[in-house]
Amino acid sequence: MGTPKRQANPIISSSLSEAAGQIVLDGLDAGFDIEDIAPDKGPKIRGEAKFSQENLDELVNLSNKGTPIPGQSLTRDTDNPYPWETPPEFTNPREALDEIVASIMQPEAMKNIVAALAQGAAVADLGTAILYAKFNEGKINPDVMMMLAEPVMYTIMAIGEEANIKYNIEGDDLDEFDDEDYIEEEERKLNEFKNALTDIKKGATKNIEPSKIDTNVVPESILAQVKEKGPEIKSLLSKGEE
Amino acid sequence: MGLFKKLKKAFKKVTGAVKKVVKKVVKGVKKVVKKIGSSKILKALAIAAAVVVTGGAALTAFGGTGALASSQFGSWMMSASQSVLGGTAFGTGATSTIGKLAQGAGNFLAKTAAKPFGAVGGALGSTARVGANILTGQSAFAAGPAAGSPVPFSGAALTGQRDMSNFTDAELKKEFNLTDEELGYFKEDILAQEGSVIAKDASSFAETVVDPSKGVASSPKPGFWQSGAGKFVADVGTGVVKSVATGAAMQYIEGDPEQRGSMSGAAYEGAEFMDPLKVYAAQQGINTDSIYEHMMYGNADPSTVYGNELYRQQTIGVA
Repeated sequence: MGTPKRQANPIISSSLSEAAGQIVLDGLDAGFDIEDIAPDKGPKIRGEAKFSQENLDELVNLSNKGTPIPGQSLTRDTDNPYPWETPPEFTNPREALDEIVASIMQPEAMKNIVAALAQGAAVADLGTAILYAKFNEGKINPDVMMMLAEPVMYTIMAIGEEANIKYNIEGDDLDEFDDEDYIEEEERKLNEFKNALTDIKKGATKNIEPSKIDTNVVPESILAQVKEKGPEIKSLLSKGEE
Repeated sequence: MGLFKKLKKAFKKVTGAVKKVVKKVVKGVKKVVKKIGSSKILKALAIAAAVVVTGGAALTAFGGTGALASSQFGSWMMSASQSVLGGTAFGTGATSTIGKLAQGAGNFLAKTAAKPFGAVGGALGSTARVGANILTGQSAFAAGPAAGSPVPFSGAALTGQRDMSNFTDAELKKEFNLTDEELGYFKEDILAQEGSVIAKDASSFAETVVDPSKGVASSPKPGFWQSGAGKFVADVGTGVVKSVATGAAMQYIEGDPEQRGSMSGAAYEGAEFMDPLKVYAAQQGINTDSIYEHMMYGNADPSTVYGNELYRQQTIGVA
């Protein structure tokens, strides 16, 4: 286990992702091991979305219920507005975030979130649902709702990580990061191979000096050809002429 | 397109953008730290972000067996924030007159800048006002918006919370460049404000300005302010403190700036260009007039540290 050699550097960023990235790098730089930051807890639960006819039917039924008639909202009694038509409860995003995170951190809510992630629900969808519900309740306005997307998504991701779930971030992207790792690894290996070939090629052509070739090993007739065509001789692995 | 459809579309864009940023940061970390899988980095990011979002509360929110609860890293990363909250900008060992003043006022200001509305005792109103002023980019010692609001730390704002008894007349004259007449005027002026000051004699001018020791429970523990960045902020803060102290003194000497035409408080030495938040905001390209529109994140983020308390401050009657 790594022990920090120094204090944490103060970090500020307008993006939570970037702030978290900098903090992780700072931690690694200070002497922490990646295992200290993100301990391995064994194989993860795969949050794979499974097709369910029942759920699809429910969705179809919901969408068949119809949409409001254009202008319908304008016919509502102004004395009884919807909650989102009234001034929001929280105009300060920081306050709103505290309220939302506190509600997410409730044991019952966390249980539901973990269950949803394990069943394949995406972090973005859960975040959207939570924030949209808060907007519907008149707690926040649409601007604050957008601003809180990132922190709420990260909170849900942290819950997923704590529950050791391999979750979808947006849509069905369970293995996206792993696939990218695989592609990167392949590319890296290919590059290494290419570099090795180049080195061999360079080494092979550079080291041919006819004067140093042992006549006991190479027949004289071939040696004569080598002396004659020395610079033109190509490596066995070089590209042939088309 | 209806409002809800628009919202849905916009939200999809935002969540898509968040994912892109996450991927970008994962790649960025991977470039620096080789041979670590993206999933591992994603986990580290999620943990770090949760700690930042919850201000450390996530450390225990997941229960005693969670990775965060037992994580040394979690406590370590929030230590920078705690150092800022500690507000020990100038230590406690100052012996010179201005050192003591700066130490007291500096700790007070550091506390204001770090956690403006917590544990500041009877000077809450003035501190809150200074904190709010710093945050909104005004002169630190501007009066509040409420009608008849006094200038922060002025005689009207402070009532019996001054303890700068180590200042002698000679020191006062030297530090604030006062003539005998000015000093006399000051003493007369202060003593005329019956019930609003502790100072009752000429040698305790200091008692009439600020009560740093009562306002702040300072700690000698080194922290953010002793670090490279912290030192820079502290140095800037010292400038502000000095000007604040000078400005506050001049305030007393010259009376109400609106009546006398003098500059008040921090504006005396152009502190509006020097205070830490201004510097921070300038670096981030943020207009301090609209600082509330910017959500900031990190273990030393001022808006996190200011947090919701700003909205709970008493703005009328105490300024």
